[in-house]
Amino acid sequence: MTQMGFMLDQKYCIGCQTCQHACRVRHGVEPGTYPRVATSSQVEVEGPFISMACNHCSKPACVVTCPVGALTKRDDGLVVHDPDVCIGCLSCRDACPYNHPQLNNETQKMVKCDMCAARLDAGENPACVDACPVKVLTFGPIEDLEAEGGANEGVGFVYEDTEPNFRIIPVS
Amino acid sequence: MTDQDFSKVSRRGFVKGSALASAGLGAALCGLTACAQPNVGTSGKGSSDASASSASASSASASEPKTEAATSGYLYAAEQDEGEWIHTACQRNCFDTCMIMAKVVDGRLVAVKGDPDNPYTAGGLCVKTQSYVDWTYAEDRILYPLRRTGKKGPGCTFERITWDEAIEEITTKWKDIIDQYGGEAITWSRYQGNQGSLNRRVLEPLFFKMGATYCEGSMCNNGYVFSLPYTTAGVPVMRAEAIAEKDLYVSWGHNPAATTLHTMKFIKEMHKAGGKIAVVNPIATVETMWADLHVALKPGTDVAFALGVGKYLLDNNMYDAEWIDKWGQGLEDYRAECDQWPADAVAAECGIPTEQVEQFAKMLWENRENACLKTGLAIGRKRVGGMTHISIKCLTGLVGHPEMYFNMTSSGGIQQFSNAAPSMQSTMLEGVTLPSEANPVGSIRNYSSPDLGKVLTGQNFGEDHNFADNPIRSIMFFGNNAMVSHPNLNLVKEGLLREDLFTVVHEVFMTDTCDYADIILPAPTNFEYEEFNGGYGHNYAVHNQPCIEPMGECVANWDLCNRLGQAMGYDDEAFSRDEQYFRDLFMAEKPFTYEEFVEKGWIDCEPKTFEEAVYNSEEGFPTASGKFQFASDELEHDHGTRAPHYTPDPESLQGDAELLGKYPLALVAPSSKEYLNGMFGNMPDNNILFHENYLYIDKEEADDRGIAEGDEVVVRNDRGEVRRIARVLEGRLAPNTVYTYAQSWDKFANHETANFLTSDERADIGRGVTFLSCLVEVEKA
Repeated sequence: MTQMGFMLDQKYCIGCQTCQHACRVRHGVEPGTYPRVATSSQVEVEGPFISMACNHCSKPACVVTCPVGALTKRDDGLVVHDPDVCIGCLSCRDACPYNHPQLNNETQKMVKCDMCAARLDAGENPACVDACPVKVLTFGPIEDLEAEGGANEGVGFVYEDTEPNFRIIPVS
Repeated sequence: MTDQDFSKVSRRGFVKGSALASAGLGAALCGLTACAQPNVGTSGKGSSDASASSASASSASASEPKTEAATSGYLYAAEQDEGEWIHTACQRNCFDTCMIMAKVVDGRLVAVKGDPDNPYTAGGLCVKTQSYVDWTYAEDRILYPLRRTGKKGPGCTFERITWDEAIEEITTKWKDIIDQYGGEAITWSRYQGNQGSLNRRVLEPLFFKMGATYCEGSMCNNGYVFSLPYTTAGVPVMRAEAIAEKDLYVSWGHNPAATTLHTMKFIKEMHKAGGKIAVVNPIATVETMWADLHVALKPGTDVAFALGVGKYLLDNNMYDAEWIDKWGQGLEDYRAECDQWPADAVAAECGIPTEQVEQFAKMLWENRENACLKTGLAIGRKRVGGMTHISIKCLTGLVGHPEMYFNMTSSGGIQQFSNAAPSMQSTMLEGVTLPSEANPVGSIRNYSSPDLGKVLTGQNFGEDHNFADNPIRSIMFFGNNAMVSHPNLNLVKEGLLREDLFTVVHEVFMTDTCDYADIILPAPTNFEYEEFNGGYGHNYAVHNQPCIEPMGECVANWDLCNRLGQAMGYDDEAFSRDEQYFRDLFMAEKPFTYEEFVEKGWIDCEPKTFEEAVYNSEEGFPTASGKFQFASDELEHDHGTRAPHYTPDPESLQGDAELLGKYPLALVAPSSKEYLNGMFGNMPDNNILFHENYLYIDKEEADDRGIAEGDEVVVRNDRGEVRRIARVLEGRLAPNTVYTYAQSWDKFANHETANFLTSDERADIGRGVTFLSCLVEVEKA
């Protein structure tokens, strides 16, 4: 089974937050709810910067925790969410070691990164990857990302027991 | 990573903006979003919708709980619905002039993205513009003409009026003013809210015809443009993409991560391939984290540093004598200026380590054959700005490679569509002399952008700048949010508060400037009109295809010019132009057809070679001498020195001692990554990501003042004061230098915009602005 993941070339991430904004717009949630979050060159000032969404863990705590089965791990490894099943109870967010799923205030359902599954299924890229102006945020099968130098951890990112599928090209 | 790392998102800007939209604008704007149709969700199982209406869309299924979750991921209408992708352009006036693909479904804009086929935009828009759809349909869009009902200033109220009423009111007022005081009692203030060739200056014929006081827009790159004739005259050309192939990238007074985001990927590629980076900037900009050298010189000392580097190169025989012998003029005059600046003197003046002069000189010399030296527009925006450009340009001639100097491109798109066709601007100004370097006094009353406050407060500041005897009685703003973008805003505000000043503002949003308007006219966005764009940071000509019908009662800007001109009783051709007129005008003698332009959206205009653009074997450089001018009679005639000469900036750390006694810190107010000039300050995402109006201050300066990280501080000088939140840094700033980002809108931000502090003095060359000549003191609030 292929496991898809994101990868960040952390040395060259410039903290512009374009990915974060593109992700919010894609999901159409209200400004302030960000399924992808990036550090800012104006707030943190000094790099390295980082951008993180759902890590589509191999052992996703959110999926096993959800009391209504709104979350599914697909064959391609994506952790997807069905808002029509979701009851907005926050238990997925609390279970996630990265605190990822967010509450959509307008629907009172959760919203999370699904790696733009519908776009991937249509042969397109995730919105954040397309938007990245420096081309340092990429995605692909996890073995490919590792072959390109992706490591399990980076500055500001710890590899948790849920086995996240986010790889980071180390700063040095 | 802990969640605390990502817990810094503030909703303050958004909340405040919402409050304004619902309360501040009152009845005038109530219901303006009626034509903004919510997205309609797809009917597929598990569908979710991109708008607030998704709650009701999914409520039917909520009554019958599903047991099996869909695995499709989110199916959003904007992605799922069949629609048309249209080539259009971003013309907010940044280097990047992005090539946009806009998706339209049933006449509604639903999505935008960067054109993935264009190597410069490469599929991604910037952080500012991701929410262009929200921007277009925002609640605070101005969709109808409005008349002031309240008191001028923040919180002012307006009522909706008809176009006929607005045109009648404006032109009656203007006719009265012309009868009583002459046309020069009227003026305008424009900038580049629309950078495109058509819309940028399309209203100006109206003011030329009235004989209005001339507005010289000079906030952009005047320091470079007007200093250029003294050195090379021609503008070197380089593909921005070519940066990726260089051996050296020099970032001088430039912050590409904020102001030309799309070049960052080329800088990255260059660095990955082993290229070197040198940053010359009082602030450690983002690319400094990759740099081999950061020269954190004090603001305003660039000329001393450049002359010091010149001296090192000359003293160590690191200059291209053969090239200079053939192409150079005035080397000895230049050498005499350089000789004033041995490295230890440079170090003392600039506040940098002595060895950095040698380090920089060696990097430049060793990589001279394949380098890019990019200067930011900020370089010219100080009292010594023009001379700064000349001094840096001379370094490129000294090493025999002036082609490395990259400020703007001069070929490609910008050559196809220059700022505006001459017939649009100047036909009605025949016989009029405007000020220039050689003749600073024009034959018509005029002012330059930094003067706006003085103009509106009736000051007499020079021979052709007497605004005391016949004050300005009416001003029209277009493409310009002056109450954010202009310097010395307390003076501008004082002028705009005058009850006897009739102010017209043509705007897309309720900007801070609108608060002072008597009449507000609705302006369309670039998604609502056609435009012809020449990028100046890349080599593409870009077509802007209208995507949707004009919102509300917005009319095309050329139509507005017609309506006002005809109501004034003018029958000139300039007031009966239509869309086809401009199409023909801009497409005349182009190497591509209109149909091709529309279909492709952008045309790659091959840059001229340096030989073609700047010099050739017969004629040489397009300067007076035909040479690269290290020194010239013209510079001596116009500015009193033959070669670049260092003069301390009067309002700098090297300047007036008395002033320094009161205000011992230099303030730099650069562009933030979220805002662009006066734009986007109303957008919730932009305000949330901007996060806070910080004052960035070195730990040493902070400690001296008892200021700790997160403290509220007051930044002040004689022109004004603003509050900020202290962000204490170490090792990232020039000595005695602080910075804060400009361009937030007061009505959406917690703290005032930085231009309440900046100076309205003019630059040495080009009559431009001097945002960077600014001294302040900082105290704990």
